[in-house]
Amino acid sequence: MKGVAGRILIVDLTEGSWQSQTLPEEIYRKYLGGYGLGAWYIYNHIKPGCDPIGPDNILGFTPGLLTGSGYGLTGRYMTCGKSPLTGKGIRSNGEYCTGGWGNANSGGLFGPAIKRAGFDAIFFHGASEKPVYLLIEGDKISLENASFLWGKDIVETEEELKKLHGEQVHIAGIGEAGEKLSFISGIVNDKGRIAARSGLGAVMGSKKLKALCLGGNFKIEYADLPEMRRMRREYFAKMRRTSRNPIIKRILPLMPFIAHLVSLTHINLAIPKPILAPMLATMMAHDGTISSNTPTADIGDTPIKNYKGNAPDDFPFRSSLKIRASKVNKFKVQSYGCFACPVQCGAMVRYDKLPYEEKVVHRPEYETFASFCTMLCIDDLDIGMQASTYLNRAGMDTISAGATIAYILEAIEEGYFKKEDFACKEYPQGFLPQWGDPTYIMPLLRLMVTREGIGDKLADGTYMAALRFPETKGFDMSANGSEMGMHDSRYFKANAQNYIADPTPGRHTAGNYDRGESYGIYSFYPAVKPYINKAQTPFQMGLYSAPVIKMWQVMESLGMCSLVFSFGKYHLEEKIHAATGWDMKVEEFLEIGGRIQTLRQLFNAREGAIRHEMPQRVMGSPPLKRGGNKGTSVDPETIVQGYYRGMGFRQDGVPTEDTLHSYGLEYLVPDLEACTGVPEPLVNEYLADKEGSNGF
Amino acid sequence: MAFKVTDACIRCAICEHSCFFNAVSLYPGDECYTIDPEKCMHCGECADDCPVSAIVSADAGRKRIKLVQIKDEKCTACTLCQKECPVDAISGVLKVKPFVINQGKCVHCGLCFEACNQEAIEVSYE
Repeated sequence: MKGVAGRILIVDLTEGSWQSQTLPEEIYRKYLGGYGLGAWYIYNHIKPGCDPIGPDNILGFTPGLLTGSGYGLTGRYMTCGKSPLTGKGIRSNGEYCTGGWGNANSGGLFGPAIKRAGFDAIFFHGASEKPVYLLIEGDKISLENASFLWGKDIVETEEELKKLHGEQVHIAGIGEAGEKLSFISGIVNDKGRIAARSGLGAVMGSKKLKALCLGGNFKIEYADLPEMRRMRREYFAKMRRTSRNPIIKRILPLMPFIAHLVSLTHINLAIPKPILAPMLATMMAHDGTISSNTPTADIGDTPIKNYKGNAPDDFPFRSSLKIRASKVNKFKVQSYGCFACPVQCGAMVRYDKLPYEEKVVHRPEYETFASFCTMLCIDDLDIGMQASTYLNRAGMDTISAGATIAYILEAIEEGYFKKEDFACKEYPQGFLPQWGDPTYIMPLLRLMVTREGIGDKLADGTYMAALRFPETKGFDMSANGSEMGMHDSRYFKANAQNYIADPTPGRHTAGNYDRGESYGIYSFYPAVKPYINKAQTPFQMGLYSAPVIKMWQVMESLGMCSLVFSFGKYHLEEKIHAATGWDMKVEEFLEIGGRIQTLRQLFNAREGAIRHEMPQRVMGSPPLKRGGNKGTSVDPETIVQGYYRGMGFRQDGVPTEDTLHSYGLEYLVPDLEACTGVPEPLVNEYLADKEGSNGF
Repeated sequence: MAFKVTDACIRCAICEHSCFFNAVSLYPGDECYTIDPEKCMHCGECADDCPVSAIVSADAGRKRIKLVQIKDEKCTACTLCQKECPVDAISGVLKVKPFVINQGKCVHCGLCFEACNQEAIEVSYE
């Protein structure tokens, strides 16, 4: 078997034992790697209905199939398991669903380290009594006592482990948030790259698994290494040219102003595809994702003031200029990228105001600035830097934490929380955070991470907080339990489909119609072009997203970065052939993608976690009166019905028997009996009033 | 002398992943990776893998090994070479010949050549 290690590591934390299992080539060819392999293993081994933060849950660390191969932009790994955050609620058969499928994605150097340790995936069963960490050094595998690391943040943990095992080991672990089972905690590697969504840090914490510490020198055999090296050189040379376009680099500082003018004139500026790839690549290489910090509030992409605000009133252009990329990049000391990345969209910044000894930290991403500055109407980049560093060290998701604070601020504004409610050791009299005021944001985050006082009830995200404070129901902006990524679905309507109907709800990096249409999936992989159609209606938008979503599953399972689609032709078939020797064509890719998505959907159907829950406000009901999203609303249910039709799922989201047969999953047909779909359709009241039923 | 990383380095970390001797590392604040000459075995895997050709030999006079083979007639099946091999490319059982190098796995580091005291290992240079 070429191109893969050919084996996975299965660790039983209850017994303190582990075994390596070899997998047949057929499994790799059907599921590739990444969360495809994770979905296959976890679906077949997990006890349905188990408690996500109990010993029956399985936590997987799965690098993509091509991770470690050195092909450009393939350095990602995924964590997967049953999420404690998403899909919770009463099923249509009356039982309670404890959680749905969860996966989160991170870059850095940890993905290839798993391959170098000699495994295509590591799965954890059971739960340890005492804190442990997994150590792999060459052929030696052991579970070591981690009591001395428990309570330490991720930077301290990494430093301690490197002192013990040498500088060459790669580490991923949880911080205080994961240890305290916060449902919005994630798993951190490389001192600040975080697989944040879906609350899998709490799963790791419940297993008392503090960290993975991987060394090793395993060499994967490839089918045609010289050809791989040639293609690698070719792609790197192309991407270095594309991502350092001198003309675009000069225009970059003007971009916020151009975007602002465009938003004022309400022109739909379609950028031609040949310019789009070098533009995005240069923006990423120069500024990273924070290049979106400034234009996005004006055009309506970034939600403001818990989705009820608008840019002209609550976060005007002069405010967003204060957090623009060039202001943040003043602190940049070095660019940073994932393994095998010619673009390097990350950076290390030196920020002397940080209360830690280590002043050089990862530059915050767009999502962090959006959730702590734009969302909370704070025009001070200091809070973005402070919150990002604190949450990265503590292992908490910045998107969910920012959205939770927005929920609290709105509840305070409406008079549901008082100053005394926030009493803690630091502020015995309590404090009262307000929109636009950065003073009490960090104390509030500290309460959430340490679960002190009211923080205990807020640490699990907005959905759980609104259950604990029923009078605040309506302020929690979550889709199926998960806070949504900072891309407003009133602006990018196709995102609404991901937020409620992707097996991992709330993700902003899942495939949808827009990613096929605007970013040009067919410029990345031309063979898929005949399968892509142009949509005229919301239903078609969902229907025609199916091939894009299938290709997206392939991309994720290969370990690719979600930006790779935007950067032009990739020679996917040739690259896979040189690595594994497989001859794969577009039909096979679409079949694999469909199989992975169907299996993830079936996981949710078996758990009863398929639900379409999204606040009316986020759908634009009633629409905003000012700003980029003025008068816009979205009808997610119709888009989702199109998507279900395209994927071969029933109207309630459960895959049909025929669909399972078509992907060779007929052995799962008996599971359909236990499956439940959406309890009730999602109606946008504003549109329903105007146009009647929304097509469920 | 060993291989060295030039300014063309883009810190993609592929060389760190390629090296079997943990000789390649990025020090905090550095713009380029560094190869530790003490640890480098001059196998050249990193130079071959580097997608931007940033790694070159620091010793122009030293040639890279192209092929390593075991001469069956001189081999005593002592396993010395097998123990040294960093990539487990040599198959064979103690006192049972033949010992064979898997050319697909071999990284041409020459450690087996140095370990063998029977002159049973033959190397050819580029």
